[in-house]
Amino acid sequence: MATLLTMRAEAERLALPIEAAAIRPDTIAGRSRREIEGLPIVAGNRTERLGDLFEVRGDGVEEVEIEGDLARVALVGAGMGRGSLVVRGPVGPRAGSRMSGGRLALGSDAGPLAGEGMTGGLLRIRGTAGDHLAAPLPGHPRGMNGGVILVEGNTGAMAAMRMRRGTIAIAGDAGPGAGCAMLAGSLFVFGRLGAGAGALMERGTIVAFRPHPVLAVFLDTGAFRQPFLNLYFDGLEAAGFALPREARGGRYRRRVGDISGPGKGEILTLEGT
Amino acid sequence: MEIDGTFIEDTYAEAFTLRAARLIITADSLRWATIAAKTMIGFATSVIGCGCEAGLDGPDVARTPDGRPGVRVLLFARSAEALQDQLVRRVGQCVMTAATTACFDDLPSEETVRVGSVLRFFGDGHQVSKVLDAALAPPGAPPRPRRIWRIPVMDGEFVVEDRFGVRKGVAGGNFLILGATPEAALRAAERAARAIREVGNVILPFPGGIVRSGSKVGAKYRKMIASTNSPYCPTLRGSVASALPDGVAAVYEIVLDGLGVEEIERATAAGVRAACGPGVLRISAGNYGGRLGKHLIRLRPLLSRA
Repeated sequence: MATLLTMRAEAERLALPIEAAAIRPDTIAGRSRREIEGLPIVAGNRTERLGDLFEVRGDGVEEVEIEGDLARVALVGAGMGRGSLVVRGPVGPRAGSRMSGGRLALGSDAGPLAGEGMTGGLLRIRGTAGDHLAAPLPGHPRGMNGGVILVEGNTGAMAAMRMRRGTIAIAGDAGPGAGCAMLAGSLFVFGRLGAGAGALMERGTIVAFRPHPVLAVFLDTGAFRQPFLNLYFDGLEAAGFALPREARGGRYRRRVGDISGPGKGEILTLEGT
Repeated sequence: MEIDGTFIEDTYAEAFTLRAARLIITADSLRWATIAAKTMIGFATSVIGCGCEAGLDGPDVARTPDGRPGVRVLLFARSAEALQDQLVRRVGQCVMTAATTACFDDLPSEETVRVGSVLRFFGDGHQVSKVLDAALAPPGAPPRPRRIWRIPVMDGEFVVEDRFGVRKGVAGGNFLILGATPEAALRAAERAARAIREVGNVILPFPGGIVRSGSKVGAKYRKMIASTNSPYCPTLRGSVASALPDGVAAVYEIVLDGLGVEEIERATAAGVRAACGPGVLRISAGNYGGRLGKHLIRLRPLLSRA
């Protein structure tokens, strides 16, 4: 049975930003309920006890569930390396920051900077994600460096900026500047791909399933079948992503760029949609 | 013991442990996947003379990693190093060169050898690596990260897995079909080969799955480590101590390699049962007195099973 945390009504009414880096299976598993309640949570400029803001049920196990409106709670699941954390409700900024393993399932919207500096694990966002999905940690040259992010809604601007490794799939639309300065990895956008996608991209793959604006720094190399994409499609379909009928076996226009740099990145755009 | 009038000798085959890899070759059509696979398994009948033993494994693959038609190949060699050497040569020269193909590992294992990570250099710096996280493993597949290489070639890209899994396998399973006429013996051997091909994880590395030049260990010539199986050569009756009963005019050998002893036993049973019938006087097996191989495949007990 999972450890259940329910946000107290007074905490939801609190007009202060909350940082909940302590809420992750790594810190909760193996602790008693009382120990969990004593974990530190930063609210505004004060450090509170977790039990003051969340009602805790059950002792600590690797499966943790949180209920409540956590839209003002930052860093949910931050630093998570194992186990499963399910959040039933919206979360604030930087959810899954520095995540290196395990599964973080967000049942609603996520704030900006979700999955920043992520190096492993699975982050699934059932709603929309804010700006700078999978961005670099402050001061770091690289963004996401491993793992998988699945977004069922739209994302804000600059998703996958400076991404180095891993896979991001966005079922909805990606805002402007997706894949900006991407270094490697794979970004799938099933909705509309916003303007400026792939600007300053060095390597990596952006896959788009609808027509989209293309920067002049990308060169058209022609349309080809890309059977390797089926390896991703199998996993994405199993995760509930609806593929366009033409996705498997279809031809993808391959544009390489950004030619103002090494130009080894690619945008693959499904033809005939 | 008799099956359909054919006497089953109370003897055993002697099989050895080798290292095995299993791969899936895909292409835009089954025809091209098969062309690549058959080219790859050419000249791979015996580790002694070819460096490896290889063959098509079972029926066509229902579901391949890239969703295209594909075939499965098993390849056996003496060590992981030898297996890597053979895989790099054969995938590089026979699969990468074949139109529209791709090549994937189909034997997840802790022990792996490098294949794509060697062949990638053919891309001359234009090769692209893609890594699939374990979280994206399709249902039913073991969750493991996979790295593939996309190597630009003149019809698009050759996609090949970075590393291939290696496991212990069993090679040298065999049985002998002793026929009253050469025609009857060959027909029986063909029936056996067809039946064995339906068993998964087993290959028949020799031409058509049948061996006519069975061998014994050693020879009168010092440089030869193996020579013709003279006791089973019908034309040498009278010249050597023949193992052939009266009336036997020809002998064919079926040699099997598999991923495990169980598979070898299952395939041997299926093959022997299919071979038995009119014109087949006896089924025997090749061994070295139990002194050479780790696995002894006894004919009668496995044929007695349901």
